[in-house]
Amino acid sequence: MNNLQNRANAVLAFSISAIFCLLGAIALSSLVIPSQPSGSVGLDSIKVLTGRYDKNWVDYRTRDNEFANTVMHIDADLSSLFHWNTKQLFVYVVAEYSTPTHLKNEIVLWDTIIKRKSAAVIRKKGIKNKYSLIDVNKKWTNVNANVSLHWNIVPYVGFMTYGRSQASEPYAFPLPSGIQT
Amino acid sequence: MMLFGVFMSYKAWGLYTNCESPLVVVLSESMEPAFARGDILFLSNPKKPIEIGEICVFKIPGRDIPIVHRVIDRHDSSSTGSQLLLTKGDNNNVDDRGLYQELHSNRGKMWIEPKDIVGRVQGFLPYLGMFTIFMTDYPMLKYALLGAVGVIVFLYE
Repeated sequence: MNNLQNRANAVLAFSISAIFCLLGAIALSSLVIPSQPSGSVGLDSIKVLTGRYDKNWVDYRTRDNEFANTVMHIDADLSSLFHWNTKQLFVYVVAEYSTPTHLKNEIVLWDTIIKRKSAAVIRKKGIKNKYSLIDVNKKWTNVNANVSLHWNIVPYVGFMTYGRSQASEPYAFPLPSGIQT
Repeated sequence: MMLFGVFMSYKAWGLYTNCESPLVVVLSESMEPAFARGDILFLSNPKKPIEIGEICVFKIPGRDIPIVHRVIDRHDSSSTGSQLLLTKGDNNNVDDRGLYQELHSNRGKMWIEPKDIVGRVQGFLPYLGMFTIFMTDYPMLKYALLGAVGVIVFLYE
């Protein structure tokens, strides 16, 4: 009965179930650890320029697609989101607006990856949008957009969780004022 | 008998999560440092619309291998309620339009839609998918493992 193979098998089986129970407990614990993240984001300027839609892939012909260039400021303290099961935060600024053809539009303007608690306080000014802010209709007419700060907590093991700040005041897009180079 | 049970519970889980393959193994580095090669992702397809910043597994028409990337643009149509989505890998410098249009039949494809989505990432388990990667990279390992199991069963049962 108690030969070497049986003993090894029992130890292996028990340690595997113990590891999975522990992983499950860690995954569940990260859902109940309290946190007080705070964040706000606002736009300091919006400028609309015209240009080609996508330099690389399509539409080389028309130059009248309207891109918005923004300058934003971010003030956030996400350090309380770091606990024993936080691998990284993916933090992103989202512009949200509505048009007659598309009820809900959301575009990521800027993003960053935070891997340490000490880096989770963001106070930045003069950030330009990293991704192009262009509507699916390629024009900005009577659009008011608000911006908000979102974050995704990537765990070491377990559930992907998301959070967001309150939306800013709405910003109106001005008429085009130049040509994008 | 045991294999049958495992298979059936996997399928039942697929029905519960509304997802054809509720477990996938990450094969590329495009989502580093969130997901590395060999990590396992748990997928599901809830009814609610896809949110911005969610990580999705999608298939581009004409390409076999699914891609795991993050949604960075979303436009919900008022008339049909369907969504236009743009994705990007956290570790890539550019969005995925280059991937969408890689095949000539997809020229001009600017967006993916919910019908291209295989599943939305809900959970994460590191490293364990390395098993399947080793098996596909070194087929001999698979045969060796199967053979060893066979020999053990033959000797001890």
